[in-house]
Amino acid sequence: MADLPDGIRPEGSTRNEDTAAERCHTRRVALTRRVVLSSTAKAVALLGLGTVGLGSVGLAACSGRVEDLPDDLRAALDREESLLERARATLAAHPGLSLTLLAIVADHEAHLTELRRLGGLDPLPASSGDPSLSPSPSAPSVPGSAPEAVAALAESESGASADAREACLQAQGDRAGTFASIGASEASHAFLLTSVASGAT
Amino acid sequence: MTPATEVTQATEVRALQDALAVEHAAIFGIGVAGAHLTEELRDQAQDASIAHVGRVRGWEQLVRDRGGEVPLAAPWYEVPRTPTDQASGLQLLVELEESCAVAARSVVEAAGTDGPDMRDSGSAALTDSAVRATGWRLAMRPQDPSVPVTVPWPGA
Repeated sequence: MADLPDGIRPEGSTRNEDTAAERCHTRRVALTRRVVLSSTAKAVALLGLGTVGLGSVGLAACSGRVEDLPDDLRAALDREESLLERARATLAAHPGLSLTLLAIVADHEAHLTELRRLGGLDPLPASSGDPSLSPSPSAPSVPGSAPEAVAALAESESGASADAREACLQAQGDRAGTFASIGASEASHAFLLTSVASGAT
Repeated sequence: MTPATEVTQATEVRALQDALAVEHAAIFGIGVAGAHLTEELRDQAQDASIAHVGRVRGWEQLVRDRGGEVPLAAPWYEVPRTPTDQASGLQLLVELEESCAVAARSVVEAAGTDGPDMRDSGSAALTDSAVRATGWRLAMRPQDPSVPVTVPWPGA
């Protein structure tokens, strides 16, 4: 692994400062980066890696407090919780859209899990299964028309994507990449929902 | 320039050069895949190729701004699969965008906070590749409705 390009780090390494939140994580599971193509010697050096570690995802072994988190991480958590609530509420109101919305809900649950890990917070409780059966009492209102509901969720996703990318610009260490990936994922949600609304699928 | 700044800049240049190599390969691969697509999808592939060329030009400038050497594209690239029909062509396009997303995230992570142009560009590239990959997966859906259309961690 010694000859890896600097842009890719071996599993388990970190360039972040050793924060208290990170020290409390004892179990690490590597996310992976898949690299597909190969070409010149230069490209092969990057592209022939197959699978290498990207930072780490672990389960918190201690419980931090939301109030103690850095502002950008707290804001990201708020955004994810809000989007997850909205996506679940949309699914509960329009179960016919489950093919699209279940995947979006799952993505937001993954985002929220990772953000909580970064903040040293307890993991999310296990999902109760079908989210359409358990909408939160505080769930946001959802338009009764499916196209309007999809458009409203797409707008929320798009706005959250822009906020995540803005947060990426000033974030420290690995949080920059995490915020950028979340922003990209939410942009793809907005694209998918817009395609659904236009009848492309 | 302080030693720390020099290290940051060298790291940035290497990440950009590596990302450019991936972009060059993707542009080549899109052409290979495009030959197996319907006219409408081929037009979309051409738009994607144009977007990647634009990203290459932007990153080349960032390399020059940092005093680095701009890598040249190779005349030929080995692609991870040889498409034989539209389905395999679309799968190749998804894989190409996923590779570009990985490279873009590396650009984001290599960029210092005092270089917002590079970080912003990497983040935009990551988003663009994630959205294009979603589009190609959507196009695969009629043949395979079970294909997950979005992923939680583009570039990871």
